[in-house]
Amino acid sequence: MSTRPFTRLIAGVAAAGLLLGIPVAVTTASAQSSACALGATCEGNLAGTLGTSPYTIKMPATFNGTVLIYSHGYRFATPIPERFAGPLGLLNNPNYDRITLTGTDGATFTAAFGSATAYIGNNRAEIVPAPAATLGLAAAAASAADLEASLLAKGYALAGVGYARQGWATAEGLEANSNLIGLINSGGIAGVKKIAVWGSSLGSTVALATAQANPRTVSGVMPLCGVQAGPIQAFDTAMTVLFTWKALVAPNLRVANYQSYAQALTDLATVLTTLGTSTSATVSQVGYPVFQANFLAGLLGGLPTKSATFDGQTVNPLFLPTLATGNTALALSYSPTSSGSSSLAAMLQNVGAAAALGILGRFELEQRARVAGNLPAGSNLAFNGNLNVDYTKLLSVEQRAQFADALNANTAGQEDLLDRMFAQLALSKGNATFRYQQNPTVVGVVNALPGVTGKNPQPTVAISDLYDAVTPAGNLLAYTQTLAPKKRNSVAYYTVPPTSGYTQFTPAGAISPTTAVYSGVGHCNFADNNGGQLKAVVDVLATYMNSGDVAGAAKANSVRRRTNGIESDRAFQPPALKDTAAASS
Amino acid sequence: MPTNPRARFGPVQRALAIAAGAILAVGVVPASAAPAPAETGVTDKQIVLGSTLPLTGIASAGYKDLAPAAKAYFDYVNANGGVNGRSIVLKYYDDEYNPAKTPIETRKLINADKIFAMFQALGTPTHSTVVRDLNRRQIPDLFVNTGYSGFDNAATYPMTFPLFPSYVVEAKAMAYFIQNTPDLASKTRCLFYQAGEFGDDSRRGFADAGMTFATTTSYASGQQLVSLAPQVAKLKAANCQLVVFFGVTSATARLLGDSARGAFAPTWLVTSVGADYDSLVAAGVPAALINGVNSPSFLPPANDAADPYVAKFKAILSQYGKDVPFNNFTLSAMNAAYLATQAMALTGPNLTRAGLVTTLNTKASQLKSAGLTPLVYSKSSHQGYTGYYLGRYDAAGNLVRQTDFVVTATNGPGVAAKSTYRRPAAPAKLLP
Repeated sequence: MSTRPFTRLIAGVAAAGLLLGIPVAVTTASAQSSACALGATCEGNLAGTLGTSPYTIKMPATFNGTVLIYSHGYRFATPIPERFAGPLGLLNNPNYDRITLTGTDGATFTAAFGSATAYIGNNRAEIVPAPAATLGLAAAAASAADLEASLLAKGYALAGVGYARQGWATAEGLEANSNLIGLINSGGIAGVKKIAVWGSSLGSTVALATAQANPRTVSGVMPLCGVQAGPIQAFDTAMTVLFTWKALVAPNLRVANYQSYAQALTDLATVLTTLGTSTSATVSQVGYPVFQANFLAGLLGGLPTKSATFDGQTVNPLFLPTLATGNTALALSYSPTSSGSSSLAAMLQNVGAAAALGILGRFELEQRARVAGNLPAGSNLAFNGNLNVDYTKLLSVEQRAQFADALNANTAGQEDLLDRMFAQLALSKGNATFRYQQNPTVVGVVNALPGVTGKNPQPTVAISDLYDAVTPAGNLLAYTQTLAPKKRNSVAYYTVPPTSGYTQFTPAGAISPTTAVYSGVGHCNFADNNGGQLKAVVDVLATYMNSGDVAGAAKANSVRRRTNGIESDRAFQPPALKDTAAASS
Repeated sequence: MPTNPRARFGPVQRALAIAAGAILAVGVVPASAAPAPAETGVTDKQIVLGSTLPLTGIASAGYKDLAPAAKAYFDYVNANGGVNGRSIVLKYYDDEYNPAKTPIETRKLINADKIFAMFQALGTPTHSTVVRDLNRRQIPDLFVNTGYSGFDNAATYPMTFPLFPSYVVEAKAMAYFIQNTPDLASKTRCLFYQAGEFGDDSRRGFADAGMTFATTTSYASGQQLVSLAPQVAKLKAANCQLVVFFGVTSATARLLGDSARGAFAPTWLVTSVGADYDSLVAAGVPAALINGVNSPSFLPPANDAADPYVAKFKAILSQYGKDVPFNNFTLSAMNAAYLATQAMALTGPNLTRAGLVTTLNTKASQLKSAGLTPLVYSKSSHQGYTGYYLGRYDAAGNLVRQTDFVVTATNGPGVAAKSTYRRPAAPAKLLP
């Protein structure tokens, strides 16, 4: 995909500064002139039309001839208030810089969030994926280090770039990757036989776009926890979730068409604060129980019903003795036999995890589109619309049957709560002042960004967590069923948590700190230092690249059967992504 | 008396056909060799069925005996030559009535046990988690144990065959009985339901029947653990003389108790799934409060020793399931097992999943069972049993038939109508 429309986006980097007056660093482009030595780590910068990108190459002691180029995931391009840094996993995260805002911006942050300190994504290159920070940075770093050591020991050269700009940086990532490939093939690494690309989350799109743009020089691709269905779909999910919130919980949410960063931060603060302060008895300002409204929002958006803490399955043992005595808080909030309580709690966490990207990510992408589209101030920046969505159609009959108890339960004595919530959502159908209409110009700009076509010829080995609230596993299903349905040299893996459940409770009925799950749940939480999932993915791709499709397929099946935490059922399918277009009438 | 043991609980309670040509032997297959397995879960010696249900946990009461009772019937059939010479093996796992566990146990049945078909998987929220997957894999899904109307969808779920009449049909039947029973028709009637499938189905059924209510109220699952007094007060304030109730047994128990405490004594018409006598008594409801409660049913009561089906099933269970109690629940399970064996036998020696589905879609009228209403399956409808008779509990806890006929209806538009259906005589051995 052409990147020409985005040469102007470098101006948008400066535009990032215009948001809050943050200075934009400019580095002098440089690249090594000789091959990176065995056992060495080489770093430098690549100059491109979209900006300068740092790169890192780490050579093994003995090179097997294959280079793995890694593309990292989404990093927030705008300052995140310190108070949200913890929940978003940004504290001490090497991919984020801790900054202090000054002047008006500092005063604004201090007034709104109690501190002028903020966190902003940097352009650090990564050469292997690390699990999500929700596991803790130390655990994530240990897993990444284990994977890196393993791949180096097998003779792979590891490489990666940072992006010239953060946010939805597929154009910058693609350009940087292509420049890195040019560097490698022009002597940056000696003895190269094959180049494979891989990436996490947004980086999976960068990797696939790189494979599409370099069909002869890239031999294989590994999309990890990808967003293959693209940004329109991804942010459509966010709109569904946040619009449901707007209708049922917080009518002042803006949801889309952010005209200022302050508007986006206000939305994020509203959602995270509400989630953080609500209980099963909390009724929203518009009269709906927050827990049930949030659960409905997540289900309509297609978010998973398991989270890193709540497995949607294990019933708090303290619940059971209370059944005989009719514990009011329990009985009126949940259906304990259906495990609905655990899914309800999980959705609180999942909406929290999805909200940051859904709000701040949308703001950043809307601003890109505004600049690239030369749109005047005040223009409608929405690239998603919901004007005629019938939200009842987004809750499948199976979901309605499964979760009716949890969706109808409430402490406020409201009858037919689910029907009432749907009625409230329907009130605004067709109302352009409360709902959203796409701006075709903005849609055009977003759709012109480098994305996934499914037409890359290389072997493709993909893996997703089954219960990923940020990039739902339906993305990988969309890839295998819609984007590349006839692709024979393609493998899709889904990681799953333990079937026995993983939520632990203390004797007092609280969530135990020993509760832990390392794959299958959360965003890009793949296990290597105790699961070998990504090592297995690399092995499968290597077999495809070196020995052909038959051997690759055999290896793929072997991995499916034997790798801890990977779903072994070849016919398994995750839930499909929600289709608001089909639900519109 | 257990009249309708459909599973619904509240808080308390391949498609890889292996082609014959896939035989790997290079030489010629001798004519006398056993035929190659033609279908997943079927060998020349056995047929493997699978089920999920609550064997443990607070929802297991009553229902934990369902699969053992069905297995007892299958063992009886196996002892008498099996189905076209094949023995039936029933694998079943405990999902604790937990929808998060049902897919795990079901995939175990599919991938490890290599089942030919699902049999009597229990529960609406639980089975909802696997029904699309079973259909995508083209695995027959026989006789789902629930009254939810949503599984009767031959277009979306061509492999799924519910058995019990739905709450939609039950509401239509209730409307018929109310309109045609003078002492019910004259009363101020009100509707009380559990929000969810009960409410969705019952309201649709009554709307199709053109029946309206003086007032309508509902409760959320779990609320019955605390109190239904607010709803009772609402019903009482509306001067309801006939209350139609759709909810689980634990809620019926709470409703009868809260009403007695509130000096509210209307005539009750209760969904069969919420009116199991033994369960109500076990929940602490005095027999006197159950006396006079009206409830529809489609099966003979398990204590009706004069019913030839009941008598034979009881005898079979006493021999092949000695530790399994004979009650309305286990009668229902054995009846479903009898239907399954007949359907497989009718499909013939070359038993395939597609063949079984064709049999059910085209030959349901040939199947015999204890059911007192017609059984309807076709390419366009997977309704199952289609109607009800009206019963009323007496002081001894017997459900006494108030109608010597049944009324039938569909899950689609339309009203219930009186049927001339008469159940076929029971075969002596109840073998397929």
